[in-house]
Amino acid sequence: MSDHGDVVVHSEQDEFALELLAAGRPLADSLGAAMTGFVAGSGGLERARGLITHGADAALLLAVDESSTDLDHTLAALEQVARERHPGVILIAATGRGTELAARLAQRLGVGCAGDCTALSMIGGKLHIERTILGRFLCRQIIESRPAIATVQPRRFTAPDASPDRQGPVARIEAARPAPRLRVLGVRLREAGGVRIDKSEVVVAVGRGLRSREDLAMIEDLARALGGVVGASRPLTDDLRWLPPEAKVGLSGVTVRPRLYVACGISGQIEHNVGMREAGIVVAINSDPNAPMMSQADYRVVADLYEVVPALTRALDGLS
Amino acid sequence: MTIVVFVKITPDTARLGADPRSGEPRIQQAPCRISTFDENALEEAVRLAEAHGGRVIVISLSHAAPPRELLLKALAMGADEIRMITDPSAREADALATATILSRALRLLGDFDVALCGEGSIDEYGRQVGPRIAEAMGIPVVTRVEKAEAGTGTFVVDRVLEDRIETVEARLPVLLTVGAEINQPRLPTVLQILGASRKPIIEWSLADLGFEKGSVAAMAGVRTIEINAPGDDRQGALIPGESAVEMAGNLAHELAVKGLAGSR
Repeated sequence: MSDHGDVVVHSEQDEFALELLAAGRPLADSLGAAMTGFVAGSGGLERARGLITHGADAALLLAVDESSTDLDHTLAALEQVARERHPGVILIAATGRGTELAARLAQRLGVGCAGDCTALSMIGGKLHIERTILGRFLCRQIIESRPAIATVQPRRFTAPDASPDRQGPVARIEAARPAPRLRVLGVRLREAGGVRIDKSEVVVAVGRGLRSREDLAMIEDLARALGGVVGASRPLTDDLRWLPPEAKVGLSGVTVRPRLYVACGISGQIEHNVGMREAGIVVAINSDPNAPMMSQADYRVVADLYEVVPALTRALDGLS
Repeated sequence: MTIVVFVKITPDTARLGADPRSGEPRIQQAPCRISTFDENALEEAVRLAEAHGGRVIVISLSHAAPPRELLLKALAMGADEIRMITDPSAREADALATATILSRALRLLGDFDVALCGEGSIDEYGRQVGPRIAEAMGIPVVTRVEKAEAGTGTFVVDRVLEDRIETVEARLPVLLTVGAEINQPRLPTVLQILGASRKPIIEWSLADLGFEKGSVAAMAGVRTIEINAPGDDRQGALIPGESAVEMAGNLAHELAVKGLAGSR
């Protein structure tokens, strides 16, 4: 271990933990330090080994009660790791839980934390990051305090390939479980009909250009023809409530990274664009050629979505 | 019930332009507003006070005196009083410094039952300050609450996670962060706006809170180097066509060429 301390990565979601290995590797190499994966929860040993085969040098494992939602146990263990092992960098995926965990950990340690980072690098032994602020402006920051804690935007980095013969030590963390302060009374899964817009290769998103709730059928038809799912901008989920909140793309909703994103009647407010910036191919369908959405599109269709969408569905159906 | 709401006055990001040469945001020229989710937090606080009785106290931190009409709006929406902490050095405050200042203000207020704030602010959207204040106060936090009901000495709330909604019971005092899902903030009536000017706005300096000069910059753990507009606009190709049907056909062809259509 170098004087700089390890790079520790953690996410409660395995796919994002793997992405953190890609974000953390150059930082660890630059510091001449090891990269350690921190796993909390049941089935941890398999998951810890998974992190090692995908690039972690070692893993730490905390057995934690899955029904506990208050994060207090995971937090206590991470605090212990920070105080005893003096890591140089702690990266946590910027999920809802991860964001809370990072903020609380940083406050306990009396250090700064940069959230939703999209790029990270080590310059002169300090962590430099990029993140989006003010809706669309790129902000570069230095984390002066140590450990340098940052949360990393999910789906920004690509998980490294596995090398099944990679080996590394897995150590169990013994941390006392604090008395629970929150009690979970019930859990409902949000996957209405199994639709997860952040898991789909194709998202057909609709905005204020839609005139009535019944017209959603037309958007659903297009999504079906493309093998995708329907997403929406904020006015349709929060104001009109035509679609559930989990369909919302954007700053206060879900960040998506599909191969194809079709924006139908979405003007392209900052709030929305932040959530789809990483998409592969973007199509904008809008009757207004000057809509901000057009500057975010690879293909611009300037026409009434009520004419284009059904015609596009028919054309696609004709291809298959 | 004493309900505290943390409210941030921010530049209105929807009306924020960029300098055409440097690409930097023109923050000074942008109008200010109450950060959207903090409006939701205030609305929820007022609803709780209306349903169960109690006082709603707003705490706000700013590097410059905010427009008076925004403070009056918060009071007209139903806040009973505002503690306004204004200090130029707040410009240097990161989430650590902000939460440290706000939690000291909360201590100075004395007992409270529930503290509310937006999940994140529209300018930074760091989503750190709420959980950090809870940690500094040693109280539990529930983030992204979409429904809150007061029980006896407890709150039962629904919180939104990526894949689930959890119903959680928390003992008081508790800190809740909220998003847009929880409510529709009210538009104050003329009568409420007129009544607002009679409610107290109490000014606090950082010295009143026991912070020494220069302590904010020393406290901060994150330093901003520069802010630029991202040059990530896509060079979109205009899909040609005399009619919508023709455009649709041309687009379908493009998508098929890219392997995005026709194979399903």
